Amino acid sequence: MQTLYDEYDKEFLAFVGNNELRIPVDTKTGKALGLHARSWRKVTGSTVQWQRAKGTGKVISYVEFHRQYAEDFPIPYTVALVELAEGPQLLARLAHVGDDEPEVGMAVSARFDSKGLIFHPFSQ
Amino acid sequence: MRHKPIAAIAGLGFSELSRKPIGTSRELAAAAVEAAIADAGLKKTDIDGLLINRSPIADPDEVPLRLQNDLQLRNLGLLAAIDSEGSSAVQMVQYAAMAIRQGMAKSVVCVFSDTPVKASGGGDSFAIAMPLTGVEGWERQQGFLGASAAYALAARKHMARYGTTQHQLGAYAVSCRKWAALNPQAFLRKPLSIGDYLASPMIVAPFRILDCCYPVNGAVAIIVTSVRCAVNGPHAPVYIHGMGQGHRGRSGLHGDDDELGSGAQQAARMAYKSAGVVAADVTACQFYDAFSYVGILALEEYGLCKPGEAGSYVADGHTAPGGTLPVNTGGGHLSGFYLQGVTPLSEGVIQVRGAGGERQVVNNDLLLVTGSGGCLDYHSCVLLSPHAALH
Repeated sequence: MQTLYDEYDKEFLAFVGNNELRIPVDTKTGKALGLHARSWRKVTGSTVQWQRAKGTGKVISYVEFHRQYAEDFPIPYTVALVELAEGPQLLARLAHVGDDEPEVGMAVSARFDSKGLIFHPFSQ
Repeated sequence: MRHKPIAAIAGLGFSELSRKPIGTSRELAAAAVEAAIADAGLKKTDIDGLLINRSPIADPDEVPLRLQNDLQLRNLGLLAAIDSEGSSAVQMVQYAAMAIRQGMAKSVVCVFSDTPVKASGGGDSFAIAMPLTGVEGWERQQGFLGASAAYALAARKHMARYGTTQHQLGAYAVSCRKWAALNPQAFLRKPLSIGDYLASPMIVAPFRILDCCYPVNGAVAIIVTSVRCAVNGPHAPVYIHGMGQGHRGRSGLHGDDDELGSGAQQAARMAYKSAGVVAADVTACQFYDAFSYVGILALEEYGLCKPGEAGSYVADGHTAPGGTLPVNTGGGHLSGFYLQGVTPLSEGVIQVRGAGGERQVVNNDLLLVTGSGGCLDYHSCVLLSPHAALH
């Protein structure tokens, strides 16, 4: 299926391309919006802006791929659903560090590699 | 007498079902419709409504509205494609029932057709990037590919919160296989033990291959009519007593809501209320269970088990043959065949008719049939019964 990007998608992906994780935040209330809440972008007078996220969060769930679906993603690899410190949740790859197994509740921090965003386990 | 049916299902038709290429989706759709019209004892001139459910991963032109011309249906007062992914098949029946109730149509044929299994196999058709995050292209960039990954993510949350185990997912697959063994139409009938399940390859942990549906090529059509018309048909009517929908989207990814509580709860409330029943009145279930976890979750979402208790309920054998609440009596999506929403719907019709043969449930008084689309985004359900009046 064809992917139909709009400016919202392009902006977010461009931030990641520049090694920045940004999320929409309502500057009036300080509340971060989930990435699903895209309707603000074309609203006249919207007080929502992309702002740099802290880049820390915790694992809400994760999956480990044991079947290869794409050449550029050799197995095994892990993708986690992370709740960012600001509240919104985001899917991204989770790096394996040493012998540590991923766990729900694990603290993580955002980094960037050649594929874009990747979370690493984070010792607080 | 507490409740009168909304409408009735009078016809059920299958095309050939196969794991090999057997024709186009359009050809198979036409074959299923022809079979359903014959099954209902109707003529094509009796059909005045056509509703089409296309697979969300197929090109819409694979089953075009021009199917009407293929079938020479010239009296349509109702024609539409319903596009709510896996909840569409049940929705077709709902919209048909409402149209009939309003006098807009008398006999509506609802058809789903798909050909996901190509000469190269079936699994890759579902290696899509499900748009979970809200940014187009993000999942592909992260290697988050395949519908199984999206559901596995939801399953892991349930496991972390409630202690649902891999054994319990396996118990669901084993239960479905036991039912499939009794169904000559099921594709996977070889006996399956929990040991077999645990030895099966991991696809996207926590899902093994036996947690995943078994896609086939084929089509199923269902004819919805008025109660009066159904009574005069060759089969005992399948009465539609309750209907509901619930659509909460990917609520869990907003960061302000709980993914585990899906729109199925809303669909359940609406259906039970419209039929004047409660969850405890349901005697058997046909769930849209593309993955083992979805069947377990449905037991909780539709109020048949308390949150977190469905895994042990299944492991205790309640949903298997001889259990207290038969679930997916044809083998469901895991062992029967995966044709999206028409898999549970067709088995519901068969059971309410009492035509289940070896797998016929003892008590078919009230069957819950569900549809589920996206990744737990879109939900629909109907309550079916052989009884014109629910007491």
